[in-house]
Amino acid sequence: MWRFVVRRIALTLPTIFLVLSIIFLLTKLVPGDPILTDLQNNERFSGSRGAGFSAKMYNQTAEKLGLDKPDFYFSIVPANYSHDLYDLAYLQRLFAFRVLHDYGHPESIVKLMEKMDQLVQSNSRNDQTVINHLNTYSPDLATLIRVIEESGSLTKNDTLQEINNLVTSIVNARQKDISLIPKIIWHGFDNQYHIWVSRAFLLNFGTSVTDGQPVARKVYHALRWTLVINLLAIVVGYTLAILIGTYAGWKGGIFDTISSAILTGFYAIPVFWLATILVVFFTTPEYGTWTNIFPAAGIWKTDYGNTFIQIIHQNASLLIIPVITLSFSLMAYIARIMRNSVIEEKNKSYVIHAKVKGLSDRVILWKHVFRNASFPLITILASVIPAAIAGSLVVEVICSIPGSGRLLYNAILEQEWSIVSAVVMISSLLTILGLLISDILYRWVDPRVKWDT
Amino acid sequence: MPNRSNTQAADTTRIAIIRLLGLFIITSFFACNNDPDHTNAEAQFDLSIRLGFEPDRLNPMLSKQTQATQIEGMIFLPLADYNPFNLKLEPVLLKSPPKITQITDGLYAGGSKYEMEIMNEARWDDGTPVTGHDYAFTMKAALDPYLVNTAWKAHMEHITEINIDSTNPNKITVLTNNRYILSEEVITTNDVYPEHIYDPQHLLKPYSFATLKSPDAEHDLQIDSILHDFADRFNDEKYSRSVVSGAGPYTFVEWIPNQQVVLKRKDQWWGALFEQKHPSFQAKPASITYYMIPDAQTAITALKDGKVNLVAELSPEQYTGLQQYNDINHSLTLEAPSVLQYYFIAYNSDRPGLREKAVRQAITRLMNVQSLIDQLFFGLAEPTVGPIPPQHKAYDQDLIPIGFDPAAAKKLLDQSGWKDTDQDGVIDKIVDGKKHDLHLHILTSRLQLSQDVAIILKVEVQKLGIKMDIIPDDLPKLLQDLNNGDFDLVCLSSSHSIGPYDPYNYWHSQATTYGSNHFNFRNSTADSLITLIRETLDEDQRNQLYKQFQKILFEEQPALFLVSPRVPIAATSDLIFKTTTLRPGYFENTISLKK
Repeated sequence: MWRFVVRRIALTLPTIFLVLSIIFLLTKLVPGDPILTDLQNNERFSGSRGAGFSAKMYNQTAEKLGLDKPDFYFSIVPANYSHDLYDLAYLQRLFAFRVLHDYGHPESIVKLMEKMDQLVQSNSRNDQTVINHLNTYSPDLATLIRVIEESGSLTKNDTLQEINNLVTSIVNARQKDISLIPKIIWHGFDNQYHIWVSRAFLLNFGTSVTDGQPVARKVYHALRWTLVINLLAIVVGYTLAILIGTYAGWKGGIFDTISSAILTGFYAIPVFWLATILVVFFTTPEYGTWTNIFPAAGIWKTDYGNTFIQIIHQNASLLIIPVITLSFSLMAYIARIMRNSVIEEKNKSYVIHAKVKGLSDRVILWKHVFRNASFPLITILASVIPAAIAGSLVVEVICSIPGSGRLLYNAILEQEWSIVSAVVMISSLLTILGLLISDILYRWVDPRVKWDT
Repeated sequence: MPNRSNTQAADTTRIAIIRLLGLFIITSFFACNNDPDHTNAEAQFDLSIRLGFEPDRLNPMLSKQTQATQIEGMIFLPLADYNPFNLKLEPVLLKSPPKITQITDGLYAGGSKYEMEIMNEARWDDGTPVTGHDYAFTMKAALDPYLVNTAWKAHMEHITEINIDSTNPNKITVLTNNRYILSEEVITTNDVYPEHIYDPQHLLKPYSFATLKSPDAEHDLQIDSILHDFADRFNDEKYSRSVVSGAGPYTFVEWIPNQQVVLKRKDQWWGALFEQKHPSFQAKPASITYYMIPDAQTAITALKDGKVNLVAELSPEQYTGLQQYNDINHSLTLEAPSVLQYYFIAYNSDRPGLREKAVRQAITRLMNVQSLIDQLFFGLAEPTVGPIPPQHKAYDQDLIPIGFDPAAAKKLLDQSGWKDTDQDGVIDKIVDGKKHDLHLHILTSRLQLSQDVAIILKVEVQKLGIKMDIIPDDLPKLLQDLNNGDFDLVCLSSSHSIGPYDPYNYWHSQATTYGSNHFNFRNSTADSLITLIRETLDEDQRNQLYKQFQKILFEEQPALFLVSPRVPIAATSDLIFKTTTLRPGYFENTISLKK
């Protein structure tokens, strides 16, 4: 058995690697500028939004987020790109790439960037308008020439004069004969992908941009709530489903008809609707005192310094609605499968043989039929765990459970890709774990399946 | 055949599972009967408030969310602040308003001198006095280039020196190098941090504000390294989630992630004697608990059940539902104060078509603002005419909002030559030698409200042959498109402080490349007025200039100014509270229980 487990775990490593690579690729494909988003602040004084951040702050934020490094081990670039451009600060590099793409002249651009830096650092109040423009690295070169000329300080400032000459020469002599054959620039291991994958393998997802907390800790704090409600829901759902499904399949008749109708109804009820109905109708005396059964969602009782177990113990009543909600549709689904499986098994020859031997119905059902009919439940278990975790998002929002679904939802809203990646990664790991558990259970329950297959 | 030990093990497992389930059910129902009741006697009045989002940090310099600012306002105090009820800038930590004198000669000629003195009674959480050194530390920290605090840094460039009196550490002198309308606000309204708690290593102590501000400091490696070190420590989550300490009436107790933040009234609250001086000194609830309840309907249910006292961040539709509920039950107090915020659709004035004033004016006439107020805001909004909200003193009441008038819009388009010459259903015109269809793209956020506003406009403009595509974007993409000018129209909202409004960043020509004038609005008269407004310290004179500025925008229509919304607030009827135009519409430390 252990050889089987070790072999399966070893086989999951390439899967994890693939998942990590796909997550990284997806975060790169998301539109928008995460640096700009991070630099946005509340409008503290009237009209102040967006004001006050310079190229320096932009570059610092890029460095903080690790976005100043190349994306991958190598870049495939046009032939006129030079490696020197990658030594420029991030914003300057983006500006240089843009100019290079439009005009060519890589050597002049590197010189231009040096002069622009020199002027910005001089911080001369006389040239503030030009510096402001340079600081954004956003205008096109034609606009830059206009701004420099309008500033009126050309004759007084040598650096400005040099910038003007360089810009004019680049614009006037646009290089059109750019080679179409690309070249490869090697960046080594100091790239975003390498850093991300090597850290993620160790479950180090960095710190949250929003609040500075380690992402792994945030995910851990949220995930334990999700696991608690989901494991409870799975236990409750499976227990009820096994009882109802097995009995309905074995007995048939009116119980089967009624239970099938009810279970189909439960399965059809959307999770968000059931959660909302339970919260709205059964946590307040608005519809009669008898409806005020459960406590108001989101009102946590806790004393300073309580452990997670103590918080769960104090607030167990707040978990009833989410557990009921999550377990109902799960129960309906599994009970239907269990019923069908029992019906299939009860007509097999070994059941007739057992009856002939004089075994009681109870023994035949629970010792023989149930065991054989439960194989599909084990198969389902592999998918139930990750599906339950992913599916609890709505319930967590409606019932104010601080779980990973809610964390993921907020992270997507706030574009916190490190958290999104971590949650997706953990979900993938749980899926792999679920598959492993179901494989082990399957072999454990069914002796016909060998450990070495 | 299973052997006896296997059977026993199975029985044991089964019993364990049944016990676990039983324990859960018993514990659950036991806990059901022990819910906290927040409607205690007034002496122990514990206020509970619902927040829709978790604050990002509790560190006024670094936090970005309004929920954080709201909580920080209970823990920290500034030198002076706007009174939320009379909307005047009044001293808080200061003994009296700053004494402001103009500097007429020397290095800072043309600037101002602010002389201030902190109250002797002011104390930090640990009982140590609040001094000018704490203020100087706060302002020095705000300068740190390694801290992302653009809102604090904005407008600090004109502050040149901060000096603390050597004999009386409570006396502060601040020098500026020019006249600027926001100077007093920038100098006095930042929350003050206790230096000994937030910089126990005294990293910033050896450097004066002026030293850190000088251009040389940027290239001084030693200063740079210290600022880097300080920022690393200050940015640490410790100073955002566990060590949160100020001079305000409440002390931070705990923050359970995504569940609640608890504040407790200080036992020996030094400001109790100054309740009449400023509402910031009031501390009526014994404790304030902020519950994070993302779903508004869940929060409403908790409110009806009396488990939270106050719920804001509601939609107008939910508020209307609560009004109907309250008509029967009378258990709630419902308020909807108007706030200093407005929604607008900005035009990109560099785009063909939108470059023409007549086209912008025509589109403005195609927005049925009243229908928008009725349908989307359920009446909880009022029309506005410019970037200064109607609640602001500088708002020009003489400007009547442009009404919905498709006939006038058609006339404007016809007169400016926009006609459907090729019979393709879209009006067109030769611009710069090329034929252009009036086919516009409007950017919106993913918020339903933003998209609904765009839909209302789209329906009307299409009737006159203007094709409009709505492009909902996530915030980062929206910001990027705005920055790059990749839009024709964009739905936005803007919030204000009560203080003077500086239009430079949004509406000055120079702010098209360095600032937030992504709309490419350029008008030399408006530029001159903005420059004058920024330097005019006399409020009456400034208001006159604001009126002229608003008239230009009204005429030029660089944006379609829509409405200023009201924020719905629902509270249990046993609370006494006053609303304010400041967000979030209430001031929780002033809320008390009815006798």
